[in-house]
Amino acid sequence: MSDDVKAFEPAGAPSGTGNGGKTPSEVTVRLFEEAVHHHSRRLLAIARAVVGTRASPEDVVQQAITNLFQHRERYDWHEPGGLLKRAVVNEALRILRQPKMSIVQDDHPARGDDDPSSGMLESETVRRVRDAIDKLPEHYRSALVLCEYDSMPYAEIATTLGASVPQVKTWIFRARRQLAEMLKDYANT
Amino acid sequence: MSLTDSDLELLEEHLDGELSIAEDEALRERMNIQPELASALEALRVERAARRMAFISMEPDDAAVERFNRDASREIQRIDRESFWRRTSGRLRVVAAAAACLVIGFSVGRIADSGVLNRKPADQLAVDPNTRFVEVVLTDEGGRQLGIQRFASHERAREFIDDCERLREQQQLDIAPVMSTTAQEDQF
Repeated sequence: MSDDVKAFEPAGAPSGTGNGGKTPSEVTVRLFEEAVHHHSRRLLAIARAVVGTRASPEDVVQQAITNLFQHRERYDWHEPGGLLKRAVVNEALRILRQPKMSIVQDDHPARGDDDPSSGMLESETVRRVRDAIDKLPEHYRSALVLCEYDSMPYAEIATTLGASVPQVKTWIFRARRQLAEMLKDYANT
Repeated sequence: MSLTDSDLELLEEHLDGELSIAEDEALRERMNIQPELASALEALRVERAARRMAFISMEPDDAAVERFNRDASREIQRIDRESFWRRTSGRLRVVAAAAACLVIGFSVGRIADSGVLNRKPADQLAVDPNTRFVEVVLTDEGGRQLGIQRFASHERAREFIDDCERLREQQQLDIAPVMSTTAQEDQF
């Protein structure tokens, strides 16, 4: 298992020993909370990358967690990180498919460095790259963030996005080429 | 020699760690004889680092993560409480339904034992041949018999006839049957 948080049994499953007298339901809740806390920073960043400024990343992740927890008995919880990421990406894509979207304020604007000279340049680069990423089609963006930020293998990205591996490879490759094209002028300065 | 899209794709796959050992080895050999492939790989590394920086900058700060975790925990607890009550009320409903079935079964048994259900309707409707009654026969214009109504007394029969007359006058139906009322005292 790639994640540090151990897998947990869904509610109603036979409880193991050493739960400190807690019921299976209480253990499930505690482990679910631990998994969420462990992954929340990454989940929020992924949500932010996919929805851009079209929705609040907190709302996206919160809704995904709620959906997942409500149907926790349905899932195999041996790898909670993967499930949580999948739920967040799907929720983000679902929100993007809704017809009317309002622009939300960016809660996490590009963070600058403490060193004023290099910081400004870095910050400008980050801002431009973020803007360019925001302009990518939603599936390109989702595949790219899972690949480059989360270091997810193509096969896992394909499962997460409900696509085939060749399709995911194409999305990622096109996303990179489109970004390179968008940032060509800036890179040459 | 310029690089093709498939060369770039190969380099990206190499950076993504998606190539097999043999494919990686083949790429390294190609880079030894094609220096432009190696410089392209370096350029892709730089681009990738910039994108990674952009993605990392999307991470919320510690305070935001802390706030989110608190809210998420609260929401999880709330859903858990709700599902507990839903499960409990579901079980209570089953118990209540079972209890209701028992009560109904018990009541039916008691009623059956009392003999009410075993009485024959004929017993209740049987007419004592010695009972005296008045019959009112309703007929239409042609004298066809429409029905017979029995009464225990003359007064009740007279009231019924009066009511019929009143009704006929009030309705004023064109095709209403004309009721000829006759009080018969068969068994007086």
